[in-house]
Amino acid sequence: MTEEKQDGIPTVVLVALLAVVFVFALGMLLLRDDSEKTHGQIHQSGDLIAEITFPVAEPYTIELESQGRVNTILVNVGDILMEEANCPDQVCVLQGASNVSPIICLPHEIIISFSTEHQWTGSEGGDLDGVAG
Amino acid sequence: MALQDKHQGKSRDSLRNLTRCSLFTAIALTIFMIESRIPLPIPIPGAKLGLANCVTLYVGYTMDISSAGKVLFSRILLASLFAGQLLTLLYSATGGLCCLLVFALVKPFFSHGRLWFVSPLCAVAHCMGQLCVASYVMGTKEIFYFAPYLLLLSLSSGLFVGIATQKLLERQYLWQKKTPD
Repeated sequence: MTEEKQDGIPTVVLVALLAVVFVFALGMLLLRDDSEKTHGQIHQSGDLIAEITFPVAEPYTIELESQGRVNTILVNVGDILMEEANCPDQVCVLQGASNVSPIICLPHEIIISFSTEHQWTGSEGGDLDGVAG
Repeated sequence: MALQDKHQGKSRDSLRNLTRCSLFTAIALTIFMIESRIPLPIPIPGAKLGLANCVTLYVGYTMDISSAGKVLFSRILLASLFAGQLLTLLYSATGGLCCLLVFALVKPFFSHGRLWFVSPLCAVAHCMGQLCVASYVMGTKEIFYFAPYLLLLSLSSGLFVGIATQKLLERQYLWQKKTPD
């Protein structure tokens, strides 16, 4: 019944198109730079809040609180993790500790990213400007 | 008299349309709520299976694109209210819009027998739109780190949703003994 409707672009081409997207995604995954990073940056709503240089002498926590959004970030010696967040999805908490893949809290617009160089032009070591807990 | 009849027929049609849209929204919401109980094995920000889009595709092919749009956006709004994720409404809505645009663009070229292709296409558009708006709102490109995962996920879930809807439509047409459009 559907046979006469199968004209137009051949099925092979469509399958190939999907395969190209698949291979593209797979390639991006494989060619990615997954080496351990030496710096961590914490951004909220596009603003750089803190920059951490690894290794950190002693683990500490950062409390971020704005408009009822509460996030507790734990800075370990060599990595960072989102300890607590009062958002509904908890994706950032489940992501665990990392110093490679960025930790992202979509509802609270927080990004903890990692790089091999400094991004903050401010004070060296880039600790905290009054948000430390 | 004839004019009145015609008018009545028209309003009856629009009423039927409204009722059907509401029913489909209810079905989509139910699927969404069940889906939100399924935990994803890997935590990726913004990742969802999108099973409720079966309904959107179904409406798009049995009714029209504007009805599909109505069902889609009612579902997105209500779903974020129910799930308490109003903060991520912007991402879902943009993703939905991208998805609907692509759907409207490609639908004229593909019959329901090609839903297995249309659906992943829409899913990929949804994920790309969502990523772009997220990176704009947050002011960072870091979020694209998750693009490959989201792309792979949307491809596979899109394929699944597409095939499921296609099978549903085929069975329905078979049952109605009606030639599909």
